[in-house]
Amino acid sequence: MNSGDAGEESLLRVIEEGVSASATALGEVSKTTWLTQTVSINADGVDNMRSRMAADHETYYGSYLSMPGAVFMLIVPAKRGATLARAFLGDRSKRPGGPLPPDADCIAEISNIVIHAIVNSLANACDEPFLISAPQMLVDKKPALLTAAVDKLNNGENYAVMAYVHLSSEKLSSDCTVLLFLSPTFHTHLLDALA
Amino acid sequence: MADPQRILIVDDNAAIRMILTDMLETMGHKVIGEAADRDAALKIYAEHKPDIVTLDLSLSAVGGADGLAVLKALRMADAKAKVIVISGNAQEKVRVMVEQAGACCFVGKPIKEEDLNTALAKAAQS
Repeated sequence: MNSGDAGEESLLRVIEEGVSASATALGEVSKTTWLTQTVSINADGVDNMRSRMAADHETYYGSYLSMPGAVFMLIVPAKRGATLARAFLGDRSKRPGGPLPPDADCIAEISNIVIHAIVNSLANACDEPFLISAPQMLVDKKPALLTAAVDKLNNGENYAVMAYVHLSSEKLSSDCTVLLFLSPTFHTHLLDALA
Repeated sequence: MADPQRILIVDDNAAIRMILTDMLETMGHKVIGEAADRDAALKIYAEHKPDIVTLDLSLSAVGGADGLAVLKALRMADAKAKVIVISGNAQEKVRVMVEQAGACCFVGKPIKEEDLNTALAKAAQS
């Protein structure tokens, strides 16, 4: 194993720790258990991933949070949005009174909590503060969401690494995907910090 | 449980404002206003002088800690302003930044009633 491989393994381990914390946080806010199905890092290209996603014609909520050099995106099926939102609000969604907040706001807050768990893991491992933006929400097909996320990162440099995380909840009949896009500069910074 | 307090909620997310309002009122506190941004927060604070402010750390899609600017503005307007910062960003260095900016407490997300209650009691006594 060379030092590059070791660095990538360290990065994957830190992301996995964050994903575990994310699943726990997701369980707390949705009152059910979420299982991590896939955690992977790859650099085979946004275009390849977009091609694979092209066959999926379903509409999704895509919530983005960003910081210099990185974009984090949570994707959930739009048709499960209301279920997730009600789970997030709990009994409050059944009480009489004013209108309920939009489902998109609930999904945005879920993404805020889930993604922060991963970012916190990276920050603590690197022993430096990482401050990410508030969520931005889009509703679209996966390829369009992917394009929007990459555009967000593309401040003169291309992405270097994508981490792909898939979580699912049997009780809510739903799944969610978290994508991490890292610029070359930030990717190198992370590997150096974790070395 | 902390003594009843008059509280201003500052958060750009309607779902969190609803959840916080429900939690605080269930605890016996009175939510005197809700604000989604800096200007509204400062205006409501000046008009109602709440006992405590709960403040989200990330209020916009632009920066990651613009809540800190709101915190500093509130403390500039009233050096005795008691602010509880609420955020999913539970990094130790960020907590230090928040405390150095004048917050009296930090509550992580997902928000737990016991954490919120502890923070409210600490803020009330500060």
